[in-house]
Amino acid sequence: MPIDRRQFIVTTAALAASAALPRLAFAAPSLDDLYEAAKAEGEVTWYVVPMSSESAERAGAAFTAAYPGVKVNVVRSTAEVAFQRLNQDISTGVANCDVLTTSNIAHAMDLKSRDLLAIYTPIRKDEVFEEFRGIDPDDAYHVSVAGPMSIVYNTDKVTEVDAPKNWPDLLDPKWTDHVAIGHPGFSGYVGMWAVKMKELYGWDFFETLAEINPHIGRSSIDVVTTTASGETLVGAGPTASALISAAKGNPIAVIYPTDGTVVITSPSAILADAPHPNAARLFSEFLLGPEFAEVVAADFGNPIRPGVPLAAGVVPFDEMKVITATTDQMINGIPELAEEFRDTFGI
Amino acid sequence: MVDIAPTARARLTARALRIDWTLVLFAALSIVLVFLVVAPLTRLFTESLSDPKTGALTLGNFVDVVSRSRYLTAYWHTIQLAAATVALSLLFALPMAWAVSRTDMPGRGFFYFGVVGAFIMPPFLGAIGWILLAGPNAGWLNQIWTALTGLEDPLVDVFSLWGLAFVIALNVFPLIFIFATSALDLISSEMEEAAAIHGAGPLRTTWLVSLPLALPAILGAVMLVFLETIALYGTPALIAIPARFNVATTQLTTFFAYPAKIELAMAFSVPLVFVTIILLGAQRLLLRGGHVAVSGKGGSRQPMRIGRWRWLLLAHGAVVTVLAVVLPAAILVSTSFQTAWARPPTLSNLTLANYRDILFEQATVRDAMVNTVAFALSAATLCTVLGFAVAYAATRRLLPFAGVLSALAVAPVAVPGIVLAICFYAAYAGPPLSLYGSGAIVVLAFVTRFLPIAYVSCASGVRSLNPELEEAVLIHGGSRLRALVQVVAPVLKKSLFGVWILVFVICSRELSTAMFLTSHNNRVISILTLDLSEQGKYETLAAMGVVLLVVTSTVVAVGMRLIGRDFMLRKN
Repeated sequence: MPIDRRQFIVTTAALAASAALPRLAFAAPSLDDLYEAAKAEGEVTWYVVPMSSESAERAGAAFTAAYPGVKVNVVRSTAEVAFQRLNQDISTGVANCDVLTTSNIAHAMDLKSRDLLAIYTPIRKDEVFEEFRGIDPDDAYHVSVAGPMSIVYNTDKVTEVDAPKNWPDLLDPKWTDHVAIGHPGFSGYVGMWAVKMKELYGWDFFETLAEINPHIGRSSIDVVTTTASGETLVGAGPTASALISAAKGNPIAVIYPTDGTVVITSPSAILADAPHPNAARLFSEFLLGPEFAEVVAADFGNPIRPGVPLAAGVVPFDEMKVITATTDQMINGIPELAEEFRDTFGI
Repeated sequence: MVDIAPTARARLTARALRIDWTLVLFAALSIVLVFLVVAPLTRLFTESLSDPKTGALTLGNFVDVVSRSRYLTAYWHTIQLAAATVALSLLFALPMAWAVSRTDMPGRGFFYFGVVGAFIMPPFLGAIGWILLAGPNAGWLNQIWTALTGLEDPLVDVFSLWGLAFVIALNVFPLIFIFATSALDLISSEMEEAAAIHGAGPLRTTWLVSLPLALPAILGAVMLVFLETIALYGTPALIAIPARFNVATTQLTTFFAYPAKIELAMAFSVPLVFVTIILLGAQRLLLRGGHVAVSGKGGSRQPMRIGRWRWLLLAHGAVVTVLAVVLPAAILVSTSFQTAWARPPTLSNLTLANYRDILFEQATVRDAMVNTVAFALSAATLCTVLGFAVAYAATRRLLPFAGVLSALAVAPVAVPGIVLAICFYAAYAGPPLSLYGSGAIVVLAFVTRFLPIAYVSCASGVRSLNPELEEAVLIHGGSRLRALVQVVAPVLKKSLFGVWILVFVICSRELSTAMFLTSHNNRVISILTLDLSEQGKYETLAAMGVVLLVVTSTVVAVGMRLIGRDFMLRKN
């Protein structure tokens, strides 16, 4: 992207201003004011991980519908790829991304520790479920998607009775060549899930898994596709994607495991050098607001705010056994685990 | 003549004393060339030898590479894969080449269709087609196999070493076909007839006479296939990861996970570059070897009568064409109209939604398609102009060090695409140029990567042209530039247009060079395909692929119309 002179002056001026001011949280006066300022910027670029590209595009369209005149550039990828691209952007001094929503909270923490995130206290901060509030005391990032990861199975070839009920059931030799997982070296969801499996059942879990020759995709969403196609019969995949696929007529269903559904909380953050800072703030409000919750609910997700009706077949958080990763597991566990995983599975 | 020549030369010399803008232009071009080729390539060696933290000179990166068994396994897997791919491509290409070139087999034109089709099919689309066809449990071929035989074990498994090699071979066999046919075409039939007179049948004749004569060309092509395979990223990313078969290119990309280990990536790439240089050197020696019998078109050529064998050959070529073009294209087209790819294409499963999504709803896809076409157009144009200019300057020795110029123009061929991408990233992404995320960086990378193709084709065109034509312009007072624009370019316009189309097609599907250079603004279809494939969105991918195939096939069809069908087959 060529930087023209005006943009350069504006950017340097903004940098100078932000350097002069103490790092105070930017509290928006009102949504209307934000919208006016965002309209002048015209667009917002959203690096997004914990949704399929279709759902993410739908969310972008819903934002533009709610705030005409502000376009959303959706860049969907797995967590590691998003973080790699963002770091490439940063190390080359190119500011592309306004808002990052990632399934790996360690990435948000890392960016914050490098002073790369803007501090912003959303107006809608306290409208979400209590457990999703205030994950960062400094308001550098906020939970905007909470995605359950459960067992999925192919309903054409596996009966509900035979389907796995808990995670170790996936290791049954009867699933040899027919169990699907994602890769923690690419996917944030798989990273969290794998960290919990290692904690609950030790690394033996993965060594046993390696013996029954799993199909390893890159994204956790790939698990849903391969299972729906019958390429694999069972797997560990994101619940919402599986239910979307089932609603399209694919033979796939979800089991909420008895030993716990892994819920992955994905934070959103505004980049400190966001090229469209006001649109970014407005978009952050949108992620906490009712319109986004409706998009999430319509795509079989569990919205993070109350009062939004769930789609058929979606189990609310308070009716499932939830397990989540600790901060330490997220920061230190996943990188180490990804290496271990590569050694065990050879890829 | 004898009298005039010195005068003319004197006038030429006199004119040369004035400022010759052509020379200035060519001097500028050579600076561009140095900038394009030397700057990124030196990065490879400087970075691989520098310490990630201090930047000091070190061999530590290489020590790190050889001390991790997973890295070494990746090299070993790459060699296995390349060997398997070579074996399969020979199996596909040689009988076809021999049949087309030396026999009276019917339907030879149809074979060109297969070869050109295999060439147009982007490797990542072929890979997706074959995942849909030969996935061990849900692939269509295996579903049909199970339905017919009742056996649960899959007939074919794309997620394996041989599956991967098979898919790659279906994409690269045209290289062997082209080299083998062009060598076989030059063998005079007299030698084969001599063998026949002495009682040898067609098979024995081919084995004893034709094949040995064409062997250097075939071996040269084998080396190219080997190199293509070790450098390929798209197909392994789609197939090798589920197959749990780590190869060098999939390993290379992991160095880019945060924190990026660029130095390690460079060190890991150096052996690949050396292997490439050695094999290319060997290939040149082979092709230069003194095989007198294939040196000219002098001898008469009679197609060999092979009787019933021709039906066998016809069947072989048809099978290869079906595997390489018809089946993948058909499965892509049918998938692009389906709601759920693994379900039978019944009425309730048919939809136009995938096309509606990519053409009207998903802005990402639309942008990537526009980018792809725009970048390919610009890169093809720049590459042809640059290739032609360098070829002309080097062939006519307009500048000192013409040999260096031509060596520079072909140097990028020695670097695998994905390694080149890392070099471009190191050279252009950051300050002072800060081109990361722009269209310019992708176009620059494409131009550099495909310059060797443009250069070699243009050089053979220029060499075929008698310099007297240009001298006539100079003698009559025209400038070198005028000679170039009004004489050389028009005479060579067909071959220049051929080069342009060739580069356009290759750019439109290039994945590895774009790997580390694209951000959200400058994504191309190939990169988007990789992004979408990680979610298994085969229906959308198929629709995108069909649109891409329609665009490139149209360009190729127009090209064949205008300049004859063999323009794409003349690359070497």
